[in-house]
Amino acid sequence: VDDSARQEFAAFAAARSGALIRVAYLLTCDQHAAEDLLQTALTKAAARWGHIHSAPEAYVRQVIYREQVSWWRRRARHRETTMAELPDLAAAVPDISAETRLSLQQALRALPAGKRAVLVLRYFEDLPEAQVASILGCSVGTVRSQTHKAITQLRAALDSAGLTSTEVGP
Amino acid sequence: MSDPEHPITTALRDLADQSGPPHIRVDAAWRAGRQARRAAIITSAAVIAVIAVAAAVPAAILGPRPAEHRPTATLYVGYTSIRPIKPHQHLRMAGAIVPVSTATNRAGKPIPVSGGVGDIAITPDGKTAYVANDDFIGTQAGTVTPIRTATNTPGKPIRIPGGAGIVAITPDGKTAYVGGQDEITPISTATNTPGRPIRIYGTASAIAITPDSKAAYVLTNAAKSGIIPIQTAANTAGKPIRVCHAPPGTNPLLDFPRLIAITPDGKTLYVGCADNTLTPVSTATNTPGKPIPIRGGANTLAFTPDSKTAYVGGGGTVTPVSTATNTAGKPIRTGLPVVEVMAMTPDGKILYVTNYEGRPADRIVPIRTATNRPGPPIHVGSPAEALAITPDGKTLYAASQSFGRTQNTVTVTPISTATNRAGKPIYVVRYVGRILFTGGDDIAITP
Repeated sequence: VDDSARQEFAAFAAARSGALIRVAYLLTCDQHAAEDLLQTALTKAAARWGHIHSAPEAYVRQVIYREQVSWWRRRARHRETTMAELPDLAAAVPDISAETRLSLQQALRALPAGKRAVLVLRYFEDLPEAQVASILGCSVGTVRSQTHKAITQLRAALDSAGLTSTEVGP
Repeated sequence: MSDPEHPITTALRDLADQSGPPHIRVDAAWRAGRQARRAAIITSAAVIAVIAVAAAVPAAILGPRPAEHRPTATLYVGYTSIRPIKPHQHLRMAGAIVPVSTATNRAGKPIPVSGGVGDIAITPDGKTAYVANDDFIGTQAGTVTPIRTATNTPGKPIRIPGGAGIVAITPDGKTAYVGGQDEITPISTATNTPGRPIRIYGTASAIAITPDSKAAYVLTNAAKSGIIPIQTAANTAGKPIRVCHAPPGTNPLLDFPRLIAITPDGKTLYVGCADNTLTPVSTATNTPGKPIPIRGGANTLAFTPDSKTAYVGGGGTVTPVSTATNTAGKPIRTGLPVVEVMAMTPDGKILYVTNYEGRPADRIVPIRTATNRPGPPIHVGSPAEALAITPDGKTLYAASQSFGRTQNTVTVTPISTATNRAGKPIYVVRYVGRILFTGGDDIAITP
């Protein structure tokens, strides 16, 4: 019936799924869960396509974040314990040791989904606190406290691994 | 802003690099999304149908009264503005309800509600409109705003932790049931306090309540959950009623009931399924009968006030189904690409049908139920997302939204049911600039 809208949707999904799956993966730390999350977000986007088609990405991203955080809240899941094997590091960043980098990734995986979402929005999406709060549907104060707690947790993880944690600061 | 070389940023990038290529079923997402949208639209259409039927009952008991002696009905139209809409930016949603006087066809001042507008339901006495404030994603805690229709002032929002996507009011006016994610929350309309939530599985997309107010049935988006019956006296959920068994090999995403409606006599609950069938369920025993095949599918449903006929709208046709024998009659060709929205006059004489998707999508077709023949289409200029008829049956309102490059509008067009002529559109909201409105699919009219 609405063939042109379907084609527009398919073009958007094809063009942006690669970038969106990275975000979904960061939130879930699991390829299958990330695909499920993206599939759900795209389904919701299709439902409102008539309203969002001029700029669908913001909507899809918001669904991805909120779905993941609320899922985590709803199921009262405490920790993500998935610890997949880590691949070799691609490029070395001079100011941080390879070992710290690896431990940081593991510590990020171990963070609860809500705290990880805050860090992904702040440090991966590079968004200011007010926007993070708006996307997650919480206050700026909550974003600050969650960021602080997440970083404290990352520091503790690095400390327990016998690594310096001074590199990780807000 | 964070430093691009911040160790956390680097670690997150490393982590993101571990993701594989996305295996996404784009077509399945599209189809499931469009069906969910239809289910959402049906919700508002169902609310309108219930209100129209409820209004017909006192008229039948008291006998016809001159229209000027009736209190004037008010049409409530919800909309939500979203901004900004650039990629990577958050969406801010602000909703409002606009009262439209059916006497003067003038829109009043918008009544702000907290968050977006998900659904509107009005108490049978017409005194209070309850607005479910959906965040459009359906996953966050929501609120319900009660609005006093006498003054059009909003009351204190009622917090609903399970989310507030839809709202339905019992015909006795005592309870508003609010549907969210995994929960249905009853609100006492006397005190506006929420009761203990009733656990369900999935997000509620429609609530149908029996005319005696004793049972509510909940449709959810969870494919396998079935229809959930709720006993309103104890507010407990009963055993789900399993309907809609999709044929093997069909897409599991599409395997869900998409429509529920109860006959005005309260005897039968009809469930429309994605596999183009309609299943009758006895409300006395909650047992489903044999599915009735409906050519073109079951997108929307309306009953004649005598409960004898169910009109089922699907792809371009409307199929009359006898509720006595549960057999489908000859489909009525409407000339529309698809039938998505319907409204029946309180006397059951005319059924108005329309569509908002496909082309053309700017006309409403009247069908005389005496002959089951469609009349000439009424041109309204823009696709109608919802229809509502005044309790006196004299005016049909078609709500539309349109998005332009520079201007977004939500309008309602009054149509005289005597002449089937469309009047001038009434602007509910008009915004010039880059704010995206959604609206027009949530409307309700006071009894």
